[in-house]
Amino acid sequence: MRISSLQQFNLGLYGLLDNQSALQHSFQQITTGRRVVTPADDPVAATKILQVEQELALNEKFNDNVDAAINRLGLEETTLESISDEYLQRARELAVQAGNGSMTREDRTVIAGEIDQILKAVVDLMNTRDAGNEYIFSGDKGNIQPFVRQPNGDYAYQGNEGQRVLFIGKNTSVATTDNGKKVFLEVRSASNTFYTESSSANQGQGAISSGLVLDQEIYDAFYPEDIVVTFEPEAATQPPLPNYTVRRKSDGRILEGLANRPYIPGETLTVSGLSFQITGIDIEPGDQFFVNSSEQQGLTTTLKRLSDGLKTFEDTQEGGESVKNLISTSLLNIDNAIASVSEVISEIGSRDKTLESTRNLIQDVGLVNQEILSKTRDVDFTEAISRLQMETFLLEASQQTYARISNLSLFNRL
Amino acid sequence: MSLLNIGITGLRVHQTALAVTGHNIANTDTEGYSRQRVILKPNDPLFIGGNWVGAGANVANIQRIHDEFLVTQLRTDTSSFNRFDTIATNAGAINSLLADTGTGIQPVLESFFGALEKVNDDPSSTPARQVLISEGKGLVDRFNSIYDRFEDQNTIVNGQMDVLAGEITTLAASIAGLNELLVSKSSEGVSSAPSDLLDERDRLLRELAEKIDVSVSTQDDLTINVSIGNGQGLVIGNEFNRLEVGAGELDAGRFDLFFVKGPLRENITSDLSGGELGGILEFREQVLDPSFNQLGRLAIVLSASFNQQHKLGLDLDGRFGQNFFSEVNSRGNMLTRVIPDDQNALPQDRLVSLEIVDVNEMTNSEYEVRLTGPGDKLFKIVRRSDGVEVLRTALSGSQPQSFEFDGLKLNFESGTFQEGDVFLLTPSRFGARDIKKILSVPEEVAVATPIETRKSLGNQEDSTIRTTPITDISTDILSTPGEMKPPLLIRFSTDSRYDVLDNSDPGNPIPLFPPLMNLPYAPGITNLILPEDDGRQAFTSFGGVLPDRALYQAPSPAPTLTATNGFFPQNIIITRDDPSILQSFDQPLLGIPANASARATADSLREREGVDAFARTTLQLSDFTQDSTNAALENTTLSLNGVLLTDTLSTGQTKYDVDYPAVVPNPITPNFIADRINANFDFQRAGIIARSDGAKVTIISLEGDDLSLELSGDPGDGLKASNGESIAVTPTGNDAIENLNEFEGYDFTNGGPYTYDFTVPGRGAFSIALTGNQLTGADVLNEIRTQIENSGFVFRGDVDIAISERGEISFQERLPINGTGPNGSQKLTMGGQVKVVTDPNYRMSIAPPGNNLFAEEPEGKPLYFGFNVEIEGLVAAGDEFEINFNQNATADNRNGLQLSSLAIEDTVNGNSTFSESYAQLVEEIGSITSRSQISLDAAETLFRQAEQAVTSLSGVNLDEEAARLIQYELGYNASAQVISVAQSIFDTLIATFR
Repeated sequence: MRISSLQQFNLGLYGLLDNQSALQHSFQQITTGRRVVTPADDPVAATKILQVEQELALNEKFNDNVDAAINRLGLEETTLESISDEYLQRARELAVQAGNGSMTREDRTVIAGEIDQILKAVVDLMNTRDAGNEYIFSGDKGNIQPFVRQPNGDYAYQGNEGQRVLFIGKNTSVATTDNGKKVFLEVRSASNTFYTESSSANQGQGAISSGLVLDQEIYDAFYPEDIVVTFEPEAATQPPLPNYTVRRKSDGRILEGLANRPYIPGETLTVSGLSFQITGIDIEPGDQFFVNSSEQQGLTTTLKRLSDGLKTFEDTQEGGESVKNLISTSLLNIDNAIASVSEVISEIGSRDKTLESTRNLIQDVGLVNQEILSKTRDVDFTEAISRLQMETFLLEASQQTYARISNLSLFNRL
Repeated sequence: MSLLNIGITGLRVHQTALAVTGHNIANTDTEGYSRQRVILKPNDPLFIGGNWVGAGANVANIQRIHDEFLVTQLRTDTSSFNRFDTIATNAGAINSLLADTGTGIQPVLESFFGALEKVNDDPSSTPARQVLISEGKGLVDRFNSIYDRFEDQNTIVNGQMDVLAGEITTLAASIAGLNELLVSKSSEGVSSAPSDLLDERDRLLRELAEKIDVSVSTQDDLTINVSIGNGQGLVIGNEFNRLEVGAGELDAGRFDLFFVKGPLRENITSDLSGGELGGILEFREQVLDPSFNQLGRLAIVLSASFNQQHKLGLDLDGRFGQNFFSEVNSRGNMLTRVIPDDQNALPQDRLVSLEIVDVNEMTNSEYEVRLTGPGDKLFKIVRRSDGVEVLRTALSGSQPQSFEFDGLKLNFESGTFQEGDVFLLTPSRFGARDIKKILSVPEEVAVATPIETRKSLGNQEDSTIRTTPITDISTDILSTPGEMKPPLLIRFSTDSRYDVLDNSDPGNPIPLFPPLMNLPYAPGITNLILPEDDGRQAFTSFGGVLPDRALYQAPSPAPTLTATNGFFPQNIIITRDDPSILQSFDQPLLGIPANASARATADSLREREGVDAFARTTLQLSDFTQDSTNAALENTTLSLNGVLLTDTLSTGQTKYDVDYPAVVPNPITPNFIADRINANFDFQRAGIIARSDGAKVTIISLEGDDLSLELSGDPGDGLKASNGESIAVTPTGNDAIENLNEFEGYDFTNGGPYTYDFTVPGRGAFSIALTGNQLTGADVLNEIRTQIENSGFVFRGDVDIAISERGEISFQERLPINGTGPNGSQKLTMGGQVKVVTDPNYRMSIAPPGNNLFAEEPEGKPLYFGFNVEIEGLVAAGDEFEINFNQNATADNRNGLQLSSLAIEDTVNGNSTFSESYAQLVEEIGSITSRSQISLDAAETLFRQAEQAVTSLSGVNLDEEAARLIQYELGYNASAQVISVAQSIFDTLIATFR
């Protein structure tokens, strides 16, 4: 084959250029440590890399969430343990002590004082805030204090039933909070009981006390009906005065003839074996108070009713019976409260367990992904460096050949 | 011929040969040079003395060593090499832009959703929210800056096209010039064409082929014709035509190429291929435009779905979220998505906009709308990515008119649409430019959910309630800011049935309208409590009709009369709409006979396809009286549906439950009636229950049976009956200074005006004004009654006015029914209310006129609330759950979790996540780049081979030329010797004669 001089030069030149470009590519791979420098190097691998990187980022996100959840649950667990182990156990001891038949009303009042202190301390813990100044037991309402003392000395729950959840996997989530209602209010009661609340539609400032079951038998017969106390227009009585009517909630029947009763703030109202008080001076007509039957009694109510009872009941035969009843139901209720708190603590424990195993899983998956990433993306240095050497050798060889060949000319001999 | 002359010819040819060799050597490195070779031939011999004697040599030809086939091949390979080179270079730039961590979307997308996770962990933390907002800004900036880079690239493409078109025209001019020169040179009668000019022309052709694919045809007269594209003659002989760029025909921002021939100007963009220009066009079509659209779509899907979810949440201040990113369907965006062709006929008054209605269905494609004719109405829409016709239909001629396809909605808003109009739809092209961040206040990040549920502490059984994700906040119940209207109460009536009630007044929850009563509940599974978002609608009838008077039944032997419920006959039409073909199909008329019970009406409706129906009858009795003076004359008897309620039975009776009230009080009390009805076995079986509040008893047939009452007794024994519906009288003027009540007077001359409205179903809306100084509560009630009487509202019997504890006025129509003494009895039958629930795409209407059963145009109300709740576990009768607006939900992250799950949901095109969609884009561009790189390598090899082949044949070999130099020099020297010999011969001869 005929070779033209230009061709001869070009061939050498192209060879040099090709070798240089291959060398450059290997060089770039080695300096970046990556086999796939641009997606065009290996589009399939490039996509895979993006996917794995996203997977890794997601994993990291989940790992962060696991950490956050563990921190949050840790605070909750400590708080709950303190409530149950320190305070409720002490309250239980005090209740047993108060049940001693030799105690007088005065002695009981002293014990009631200590129970009041315990109640205060427990409520403080129930109002615990986290590092972000957020109440941990108020459900969704992080900046609303969950347990607020009412004018009548009781504590009302102001939070809601929200429970915060964090994703710790694409389809796995873990609850990081428990609301105060679930932990402290939904406590099974020893006997049929009730809770009181003001209607959310009330316009006045009236409050209803947590009340007491005076006669369990009468109340059991009435149970599970609910009671509504509705304030009527003043003009309904002569002379016009604030007045209220007590009805059965299910059908609106007036109970025990309590219609248009004049309102005396703080007067004890006794109906269907229950007693409670309504307080407040500016109650508007139409305001309603509910006395709802329940099989549950909140922790604060239990302590409050215990303390109230110990302070109230006389040293009479009848009073003694009441104290006995009170102590036995209170003990059961305190035990139930401890059980409810412990139940949540063990729930937290199992969540912790889930979190730990998820963390391990995340780390394992992370390692696998790292490995896949490294296999797909990263350069094999042994291979790359030997390739680089080979390419260097080739380049040098072609440079030398080029110089040699370009010296060959007949003109040199002329 | 003398030896001298022969020698001279020898000198001459060798001189020429040396010159040609020298020319070759001189042009060793000249691009496109074809080596030349001298072809020598002997001169014609002379016939001398009977012999042919040679006469020396001459130059027959200077041959151009050249192979047209190889040259053509080289030209083709040049074209394709340059084509792939251009694509690979340009695509590579985009490729690294998208994949680089410093410039791609992926890393900012990850940090954005990472920041969201921090907010979810600690929703009330302002710093975490601030970080989310900053990351959102980073994300938006990244979209914008990539868009800008794309736009720069587009500008560069336009510029390159401009330059290349100019160069192509210049080359065409030069080639035409050479054609002319060659013709003039060859026409001078020279045997061969000047080979250097041919080389020059080939060189120009090759240069042209670098820019674009050309086809060359050689003519007889040595000229060539060059054509591009679809046979457009760029050079014809010594004429040439121009290639120019201009604003794109469908999109001014994307230049088109025009072939200009004299006054003619033809768009040949789609015909051109090969070379740098073809490469640029391919790059634009395959890489740049899809990148614009894919990235744009990602921006749109991301911002629209994030916004949509964000707006379903509550911010830190309890307000519904706003758009987090800019609105996808802003007026400006909707208009810029439609680009009218500038060739559309005048006047330019058409207003067309494109709305994105379902981001999940969006494609990457652009669309072309063509009014194909005949006429100005027919049009079709073609998806450009695959050429599929997505819609072919006609305009109605009256705008605005909208058409939906592929998740898009095209609105022909106004203007004169004419046959031949073309519009380009670019749904996603500008998405990455138009995405902006608008939320700037950390508190406005909406991660809470507006619904809170509350399980009553009084519940007997253990069950849990949860909200399901909210999907719509535009429903009636959620459209009031900061509250739920009305709040709901779920109350279980048995362990497997529940009612959903309006809990606006927690002391007195009332049925919703349309009612949700007596729904089934299954313990052990998760029950969706509220209606689902399935397009079902409820149509409700007016309810029971109160007659003008009770029916008098004469004593036996007079025939037994039957009181009727008073409903008029009505014809109901159920219609099915088929949205896919825009047609409606009426089912046959459903004739409801006069006086049909609500239950019968519901039963016959339920037989129809696409319809479910429920019925319920309410009868309310109050104001029981007993004629004390004539008490002895006649016992009051009251029976309901043929069951006597006022009987006195001996022990061991089998009519009632054991704890029934045995003694009939005098007068009869509502409590007594309620207790008797509830204790009666017949009524328990028939699903008839009663509730009494002491003043009135409400009797309800849960199945919608008619309730027939029969009363006998003294004329003074009686009661009042009503259908149980209270009409609210709502103030339209000023509020009363103090709440009205039934016990005190009120001075209506003070303050005011005291105007009120009330609406009675089926009988219209009325207005009243209260006036005068009313001294007592009774006067106030009287004034109200008088005004209602004067309002034009015709009522039966009596109106019973009530003022609630909060001063709200309402009234009921009540019909007094009194005994008629020993002679006969009074009868009344109350009909019920029908609720018709239609399936999606079904609706109900009435054959006019409307009457006392259904309104003339019954209004369907969606059953869906925009959210739902789930309850699972055991329940007991009386268990309650409240659903309220989520006040102060600063620690709630439920909407945040929904937002964060957007990142792992298949939101894009229904099959990929944001990241996957982006990875697809990167992969696509990557494989195009890689493919063009591989093609480039192949093309380069071919190109080099062709180049080798050409240079191998036509290139100069210096060694060869050196050899030739020696050869011709020798020949020259020898020829000189010949002359020298001739001279010495001549000298010898001269010397001989001297």
